[in-house]
Amino acid sequence: MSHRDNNSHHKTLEELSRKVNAAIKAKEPVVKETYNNSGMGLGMRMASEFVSAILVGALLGLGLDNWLKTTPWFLLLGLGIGFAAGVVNIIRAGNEYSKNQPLGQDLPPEPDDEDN
Amino acid sequence: MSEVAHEVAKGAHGAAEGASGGFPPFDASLFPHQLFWFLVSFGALYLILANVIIPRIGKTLEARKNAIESDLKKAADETAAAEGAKKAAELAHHNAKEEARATLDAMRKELEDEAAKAQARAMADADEKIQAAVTIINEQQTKAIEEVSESIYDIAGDIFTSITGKKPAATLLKSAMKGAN
Amino acid sequence: MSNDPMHQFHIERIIPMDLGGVDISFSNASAFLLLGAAIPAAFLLMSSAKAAMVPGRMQLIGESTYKFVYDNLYGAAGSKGVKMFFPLVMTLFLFIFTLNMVGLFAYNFTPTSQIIITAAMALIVFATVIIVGFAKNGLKFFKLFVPSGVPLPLYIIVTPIEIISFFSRPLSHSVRLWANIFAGHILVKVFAGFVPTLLGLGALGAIGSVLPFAMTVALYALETLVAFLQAFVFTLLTCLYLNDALHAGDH
Repeated sequence: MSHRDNNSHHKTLEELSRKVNAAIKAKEPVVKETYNNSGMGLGMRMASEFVSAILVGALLGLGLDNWLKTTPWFLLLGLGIGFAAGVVNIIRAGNEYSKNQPLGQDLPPEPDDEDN
Repeated sequence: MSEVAHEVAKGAHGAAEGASGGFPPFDASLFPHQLFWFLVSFGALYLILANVIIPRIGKTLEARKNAIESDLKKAADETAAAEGAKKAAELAHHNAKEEARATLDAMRKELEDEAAKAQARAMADADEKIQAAVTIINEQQTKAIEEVSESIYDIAGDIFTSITGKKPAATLLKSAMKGAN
Repeated sequence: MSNDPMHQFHIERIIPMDLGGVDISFSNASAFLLLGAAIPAAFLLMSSAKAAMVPGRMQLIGESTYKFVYDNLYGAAGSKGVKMFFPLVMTLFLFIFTLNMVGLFAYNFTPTSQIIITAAMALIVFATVIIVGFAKNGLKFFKLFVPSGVPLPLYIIVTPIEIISFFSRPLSHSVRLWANIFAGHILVKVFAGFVPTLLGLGALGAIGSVLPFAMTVALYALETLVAFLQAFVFTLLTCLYLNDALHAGDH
């Protein structure tokens, strides 16, 4: 074995192990971007959750008023609580957004049946 | 389920429906058949997905994941083996080099020893010869001196005879020579 | 085709049918609902049939969809959530996405622009959350309305807020999808409607029609994005709600 020959063997082996390591690394889970990259989606979500909380509050109030003949007190109360619930909804949506949780790490694609 | 959906949708949007008249999305008379066909198609899709497609794709992905993992593991193992072989080769190479050096050293030492021995022998030989030569020289010298002193006795005796006319006594001559010496 | 932007939401009964007094007529809405199930089912059945180790393009699309939904559900609800709800979430995503996309093509009917359809889906999720929530947590499911770490008197305010927040979910869940698709379709239709109207006004109108035409094209691009985004948001919120069903008693 000449010296040159030895050297070239050396190189290919090094290259091979580098390749193998790269392949193994590529297989490892990648932390993905979070879901709500689009501000539009988030804005839409917040707006609709805010509005629907107020709507539900008002509807519950109306129902109670109709039932108990107390118009308009429960409607007003419902609107107030609905507004508060809407704010809570928005804060929650914002928290979920800023939590920046790495959704979808590469995990076994088949649901495991072990834990129950 | 369908009843609940119906009631809630109606409750939530009943007011809007009344106001806009024929606004199709809120026309409650169009709800039942939509709901029915929704449940039929949604249910069918759910059943196909849950019973056929999801298990099938899941199995494919699992098989691929396993194959890739085992391939990678094999590749890593074989690379490690190759690395090991390389190390072994290097070690063997190193050992061989060491051995060669040791052999060389031993040989050199042997040669040096031999050379030294030869030199010593040669030196001893020369010494002997010199000694022999010195002995011979000394012998010759002594002999020569004796010969010379004998001839000196003769000459001295001759001189004595010529002067005195008598033969000198040997002892006298000897003591006279010694006195001269 | 009528220029009325509302026309695209009209439902025509093609085959009137009746089941025990309930109208189950086969209409254009029924046809597109069936399409919404048939297209993804057919596509996935075909693309996954070969189960090749090295996937072709079709198989890759099918598997990517699977992984996409899987990752979202796993991220929100963990392995338990995947085990219980994966088919449901997958069905919702594929169904909504297909209906939205099919509805983008001219003359097509879009069931997701009908509040009854989005409400039905939201209520399926809502009912699943409640049923699974009680099955998994029992009465601890009510902890959802009584968050821990709040001073006792504040519960008078917090609990109603939490209840309303909880019940507002199916409403916002369904209205958001519906309103996006409905408004988008009307918008596209209105701008598209300007084009022939302006073209009918002669040379000046023809030049002017370029603007609404460009707008229509731009809106179509936007609507394609919305079609995916709304299917995605609906699916994602479903995952978050389902996570509550599993872990209501934990906090």
